[in-house]
Amino acid sequence: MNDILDLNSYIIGHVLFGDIVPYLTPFSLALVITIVVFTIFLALSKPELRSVTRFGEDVVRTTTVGKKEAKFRRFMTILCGVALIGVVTTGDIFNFTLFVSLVGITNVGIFAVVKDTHVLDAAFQYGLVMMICSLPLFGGVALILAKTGTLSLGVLAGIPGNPVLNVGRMLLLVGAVGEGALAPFFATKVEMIRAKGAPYINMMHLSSLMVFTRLIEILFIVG
Amino acid sequence: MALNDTVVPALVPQIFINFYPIAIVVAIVVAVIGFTGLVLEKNDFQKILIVQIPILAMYMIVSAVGTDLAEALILPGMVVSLAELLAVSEILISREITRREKEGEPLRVLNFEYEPINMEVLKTAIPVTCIVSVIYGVILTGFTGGAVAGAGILIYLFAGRTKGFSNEFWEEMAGISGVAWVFWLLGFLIYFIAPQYWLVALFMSGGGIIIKVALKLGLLGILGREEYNR
Repeated sequence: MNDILDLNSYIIGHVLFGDIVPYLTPFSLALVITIVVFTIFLALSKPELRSVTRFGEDVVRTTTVGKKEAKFRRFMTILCGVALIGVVTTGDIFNFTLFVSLVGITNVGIFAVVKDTHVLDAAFQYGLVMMICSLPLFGGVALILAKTGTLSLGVLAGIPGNPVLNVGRMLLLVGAVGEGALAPFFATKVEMIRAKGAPYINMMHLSSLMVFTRLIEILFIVG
Repeated sequence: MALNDTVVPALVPQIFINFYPIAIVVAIVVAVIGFTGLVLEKNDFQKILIVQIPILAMYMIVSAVGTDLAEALILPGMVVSLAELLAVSEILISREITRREKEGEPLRVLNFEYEPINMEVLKTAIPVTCIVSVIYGVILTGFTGGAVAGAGILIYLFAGRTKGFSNEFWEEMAGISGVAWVFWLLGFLIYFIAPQYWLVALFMSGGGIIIKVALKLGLLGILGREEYNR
């Protein structure tokens, strides 16, 4: 647990549940509080009413989001928040991959009901990237498992780095970047954010940020 | 990419360890084929189908490890890829409907004519496959056996002619599935409360789960058929 302690000062609490050991450190506690507050804020807020002024016309158009659509999006947003809490607190790379995949699926789900062709197009491209990136994500985890025989972060922290482990870490980086739509693929998310219904789409920014933060931490701990 | 000898137990034969790099290389070749197809393909629907090839490579890399932890990894991997596939195809359908509504193009339902092929094997192979897989599933018992037997029932319901069984029959089967599940739970309870009766518990839970899983898959077939007929 040396690397975990070096990065996070001390462990506040952990749940001993066989191999699966979720743990909280001051760092991850701050992230969890941010996610919980943000999710509650988004769940309680009402969908935006966007006003569009057009040149050449003397009108201001207001677009509304239907009640059913807003309900579905709110549900997906809350699910995304739960998945993010899992990403931040889990002590197991295997669970990390599953939660990151869940974040990706819920992110697509937030946009699935939008009736806008270019938004759906961007969501489709993001979905394709997500499906392709499950290869490096699970492949990297399988390589780490094959080299060390464990997926628990607590055990992996004590194993010194070696070339095969580095390949696994690299694949994990590529996979998580694709699943969470980080830097090179963020363009698809930006295109999706042009959809109406402001409060819920803010979850996408938060999910990218949290997945990225946790990913860097895990890459430091492994190896 | 040789494995560290300290990780692999001594009882594993050397030939299995030598297979691992071969499996990884084959998976990389499969992934390269899939990616090439994705780059060359322009049709969105075909892209969804071709994406399954890299996912196949993912299964190969994970299953090459061959431990119980890898088995635990591959099942959620399949579920995740299935969920992503469903989400992406829903988005594709939604996009096409929105686009056609905007452009005023009517939605066409494919309605092609066909002539049923009269072949002996099409009528006889399906019940035989069903019976063989159900018997093999009963021999296997447990969750795996239930899945095998259920797959047999699923084939029969999807492709075969279900003359003998009405819908009420299958609804009663759903009730039996629930009772079998209770047996499974009771078996597990006996494990913890009275470990000396482990044999009874084993038979209760093993028999319960096979009936439960098999009938669940059969129920899936019923739902699919009713959806199709509607």
